[in-house]
Amino acid sequence: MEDRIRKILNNKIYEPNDLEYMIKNTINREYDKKTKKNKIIKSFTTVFACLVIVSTVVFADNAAEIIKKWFGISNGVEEAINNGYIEQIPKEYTESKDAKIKVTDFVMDDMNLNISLNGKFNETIDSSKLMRLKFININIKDEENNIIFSQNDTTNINEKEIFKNDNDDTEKLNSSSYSTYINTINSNSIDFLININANDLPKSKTLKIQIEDISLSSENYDREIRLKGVWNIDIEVPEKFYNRTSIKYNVIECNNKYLDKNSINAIVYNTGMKFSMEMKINDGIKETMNQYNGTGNIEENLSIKNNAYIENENGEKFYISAISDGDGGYGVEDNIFKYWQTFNITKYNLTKKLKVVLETGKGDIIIINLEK
Amino acid sequence: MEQLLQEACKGNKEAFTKLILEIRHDLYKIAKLRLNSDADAEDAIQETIIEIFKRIKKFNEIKYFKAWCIKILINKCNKIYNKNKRNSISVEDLEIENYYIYNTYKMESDIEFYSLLENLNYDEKIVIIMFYKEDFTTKEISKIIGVNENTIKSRLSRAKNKIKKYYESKEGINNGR
Repeated sequence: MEDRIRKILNNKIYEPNDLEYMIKNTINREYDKKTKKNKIIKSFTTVFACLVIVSTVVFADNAAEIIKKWFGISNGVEEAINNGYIEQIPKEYTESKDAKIKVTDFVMDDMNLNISLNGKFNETIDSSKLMRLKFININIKDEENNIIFSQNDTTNINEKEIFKNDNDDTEKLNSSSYSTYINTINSNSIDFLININANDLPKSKTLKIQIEDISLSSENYDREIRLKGVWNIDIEVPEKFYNRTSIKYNVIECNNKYLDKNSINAIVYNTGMKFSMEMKINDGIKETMNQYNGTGNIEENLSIKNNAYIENENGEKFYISAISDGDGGYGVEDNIFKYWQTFNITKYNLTKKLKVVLETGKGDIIIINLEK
Repeated sequence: MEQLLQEACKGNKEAFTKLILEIRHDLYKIAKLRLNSDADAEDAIQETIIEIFKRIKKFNEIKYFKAWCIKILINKCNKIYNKNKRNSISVEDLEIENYYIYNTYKMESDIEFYSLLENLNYDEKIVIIMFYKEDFTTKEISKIIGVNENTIKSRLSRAKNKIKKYYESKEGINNGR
């Protein structure tokens, strides 16, 4: 019994996603407190100039160092970086009113866009308690001037527009999530990261980022510093990102008779796998479900638990990335149960065959065998 | 770890960060024994880190580093727990709410972990986890918690009996008894 207790207590249990980030941020803040000068940024009155700088790109040679610093990235992005899928953009700063900013490192595929930036304040600030970063306005456009990401302070963060063309109002994509993290901040400078998850980021040779005003605030928003300025940063996207490819897997067999095999879609990218499937809710399913649950809540019974995973032929398991709600979910629409998910398996972990293992709310195990 | 601690004591931020990250799983598990909400557990860990940071320069006994951190954490957790009580938030309500939260989202191993501990009171939980998970002796646990060693021994024995009964009844059910 004692061995059993030991084993259970040593098993990994769920931890909040932001635990590691919170720890790193707390430590950064405590160290910065020791060194910073308590000088509050003064008001700025002069009209700012806005410089556009086109940065050039070189290879990143310190992937491990970057992973250590990048918060909020999925295991899939981490795996891609470990395999050299990252580029460094080390050049000039874009100057504006209260600070100058430059992009430092860059990762992009169909699902993820991760950009780290460094800023230097034009006057020293009191950086104590500052943990959160928010752009008052940010737009990212591709080479055809499509807005691939946009967010401003007056809109709800969940209602971002993505892929909305400048010229017409056709929304091509509707699912994305967005986060910013402060890596380090002191009285003179800041390192921060933008993580964007989306469904179909373009294979664009350039990206234009426009940032207007940045808010830095404490965890409880009881302290805020606003950096005024407009920063236009053009990035020449390295070839490996715009010439990227994805790998589609096809279904060989599935143990669930109700699942529509043709609806199963599994595509692997550099930073993860997008998986989706559909199940038509017919009388057979309804009957089975009602036997299980008298209330007949079909959606709950069909729901797929978060212990879902993909297993490769080497026996390695890859779980859901769970960076945001946008990455996965399920629902019933027009009598069809839909499930979509993002897994942490990347192009660097693939074998010819893969196995998808899903557990339903009812407790059934669905196994889907896939092949390249 | 010894090297990391030495570097952290000298003020090396990287080393300090690594040191804390290495014990973060233990800190979280212990915080969750006392505080059901993730937000409270994170607050307790955050306050613990700040306290460790302030005092680490005076500390260089690698053997007792984890014990020292856990001691600080337990105190921080107790403070938050008592504050919640004072603020008349029903601990029972919190427990029900959080039971629902972590039983909705978490992994298979969570069920085993929390089920094992659910019949124990807090004093028994902390002793069980320190003895079986952290491998502290009863003497060390008594120093960390500040309770007589004999009390620790009796809590441990009581907790083991409860777990034994729990498994017997569970296996009885599984065997159709």
